[in-house]
Amino acid sequence: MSIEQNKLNVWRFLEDIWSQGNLALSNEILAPDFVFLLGVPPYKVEGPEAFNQLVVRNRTAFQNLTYVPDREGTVAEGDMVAAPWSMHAKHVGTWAGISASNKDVAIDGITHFRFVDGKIASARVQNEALSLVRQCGGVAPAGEGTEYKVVQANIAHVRRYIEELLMKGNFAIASELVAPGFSIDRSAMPDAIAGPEGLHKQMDMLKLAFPDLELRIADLFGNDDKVVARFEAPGTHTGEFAGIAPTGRKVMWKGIVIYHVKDSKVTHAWACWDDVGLVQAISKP
Amino acid sequence: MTPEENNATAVRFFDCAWNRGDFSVLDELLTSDSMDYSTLHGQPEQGSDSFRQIISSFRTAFPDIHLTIDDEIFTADKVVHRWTLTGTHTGPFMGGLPPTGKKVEFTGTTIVQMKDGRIAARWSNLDMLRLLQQLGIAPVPVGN
Repeated sequence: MSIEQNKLNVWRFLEDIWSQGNLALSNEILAPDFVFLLGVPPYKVEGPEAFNQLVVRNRTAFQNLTYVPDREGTVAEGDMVAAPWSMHAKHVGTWAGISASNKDVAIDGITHFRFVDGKIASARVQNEALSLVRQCGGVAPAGEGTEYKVVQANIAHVRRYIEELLMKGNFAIASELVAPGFSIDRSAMPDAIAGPEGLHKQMDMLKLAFPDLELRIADLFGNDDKVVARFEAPGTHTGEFAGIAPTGRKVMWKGIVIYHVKDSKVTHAWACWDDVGLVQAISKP
Repeated sequence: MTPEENNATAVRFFDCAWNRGDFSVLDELLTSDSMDYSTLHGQPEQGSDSFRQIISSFRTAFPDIHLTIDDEIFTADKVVHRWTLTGTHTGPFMGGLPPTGKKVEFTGTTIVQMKDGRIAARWSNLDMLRLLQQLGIAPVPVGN
């Protein structure tokens, strides 16, 4: 695909999909794993279908939603296109939690597009989001715009904590991952696991009973200063556990853990593991 | 739907079920193919039937049972609640355990996946060990 063709597709993205609501075009010009990033909720949308839903929502909230690309200002190089645009519309439905103001609104912005194999793989929007919030009559929340990045960094940090401490047992670097005073609430037992030493002991005990225990991350997401991990942990019961002699049974231990992250360190976690399910799985006849 | 609206739907779902025993609104808050992956069932269940059975058995055993939400985390399409259940054991529980009169308190965490303003899936873990310990019937102590 040529640079000129990429530019044309970017203008069609703005004019045909957003202004005209031509959703069928999304499947044509967007990659299947297309990612749309923006500075206001929902911050990140993945896949053409979810993107189309966002288009429909915004076109419902904003009557006559019109994007006018700045053709002369559009620059392209390699697989990248950056397109400045102007938007105008009438705010007639709830958007970003702000109910209809029936005001005419207008903002400028610029969207950076990345192409892979001639299709748009990602689009990152930089716009006057706070201005739009104010024009709609909402109060601009603090921290908007950087929030998405902080949340993504927190999620990446918790993933590293899980991989290094829980999976690899690399407790030598624990101080990089957890804050002083770190502890884990084991369900209704506050601070049941104190410090990385307490966690280390707990993991050693589990690995003795289930040496192949694999703490698989089934889901990982977050908001503000919290990150939530859902675990599905398969393992084989080849060592004594909770007074139960090895059974050789394969079990699936399930848990949901909420992590509090501050200044790139885990300060506290609330863990809810299905202990009774685990014990039942190795003790039932 | 905004994350706040999604959270309000999830709060309503659990408040009606646990605190009121009102099942009439549950199904309208679920998608038609909504899945329940609560660890209590042992296997995935569709709809709200198994959830109603669990709530009913808890409300029989603990008629004053009350759910308090301790933390709410919501993103674009997910809602997470960390919660505490309190109640007094004045009715038969789990098919056989006669009332002990004991006050119990135990916690849990639920992840809700939202779709178009309805609940499409739920993952719940609750601290059954803590509950059974308080009732004096814990199978065995586990680790920490």
